[in-house]
Amino acid sequence: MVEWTEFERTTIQDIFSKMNYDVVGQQSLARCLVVYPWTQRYFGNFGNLYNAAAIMGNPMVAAHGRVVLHGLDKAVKNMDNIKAAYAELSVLHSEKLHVDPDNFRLLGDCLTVVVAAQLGAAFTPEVQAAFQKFLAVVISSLQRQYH
Amino acid sequence: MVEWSDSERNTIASVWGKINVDEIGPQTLARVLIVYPWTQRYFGSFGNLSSASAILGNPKVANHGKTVLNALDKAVKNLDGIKGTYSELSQLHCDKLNVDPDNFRLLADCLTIVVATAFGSAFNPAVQATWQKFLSVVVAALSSRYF
Repeated sequence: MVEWTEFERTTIQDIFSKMNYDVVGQQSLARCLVVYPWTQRYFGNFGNLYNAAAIMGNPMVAAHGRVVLHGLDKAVKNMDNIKAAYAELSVLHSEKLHVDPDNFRLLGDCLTVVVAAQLGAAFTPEVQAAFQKFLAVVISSLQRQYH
Repeated sequence: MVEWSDSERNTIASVWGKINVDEIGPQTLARVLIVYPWTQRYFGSFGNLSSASAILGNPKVANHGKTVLNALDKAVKNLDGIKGTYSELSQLHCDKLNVDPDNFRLLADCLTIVVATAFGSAFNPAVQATWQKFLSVVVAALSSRYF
């Protein structure tokens, strides 16, 4: 089982309680689609993803970014059993959505960049380490039900 | 050969022009050692790396961070020949330093995060995409002499 220090727990709760899910969700997903363009293949029905400006302004991207970020709430509220919390979502991504599990890491990286840009110097190395550890656990849990 | 649009060339020059290598180099290397602690194995002679604050205050880490970041200048000034530019450095890292090339990506990730914390919202998705493309070319060039 994953062990969390007090600092790590506090850091994660702190970051997410102050987060604007609408902005961060939209930014993270949009960045993923811009920086790793092959990920656009999962969003064929999202309309115009033709360039960075189109992606940034796309309302379906914004809405879906929000959905994904709220999905992270499960982990924030269940840090001591993220694996179980994501069992169903993992099955969904594998068997229904057919998402290559590599993409979880790409989205995690984009989310980290967005949070870093927002927090600036407050995103210290220790905070970064805690945040990346949290995301690594989330990603591992989402990958777990793939066969 | 890697193709760079005019806009990408401008973006890279602009970001690099605003970076204070003496500040960003130390921060980046410190983050690598903190967030990915196994990388400390390469720096056995650096003295005290026993905690985040020790790493952040360690003068050898700071100096070496500057060395590494300064070496990126070569790539910024030779966008059309990054592979050739880094051929010797690649051999050095492989044959003499025995660095696992995976670590280049970790350093690149930490550098991206430090740049994001410094630039905030100016590090928009299009800039991020260009910057990450640049770093992935650098990482590939540094890995190119490994067999």
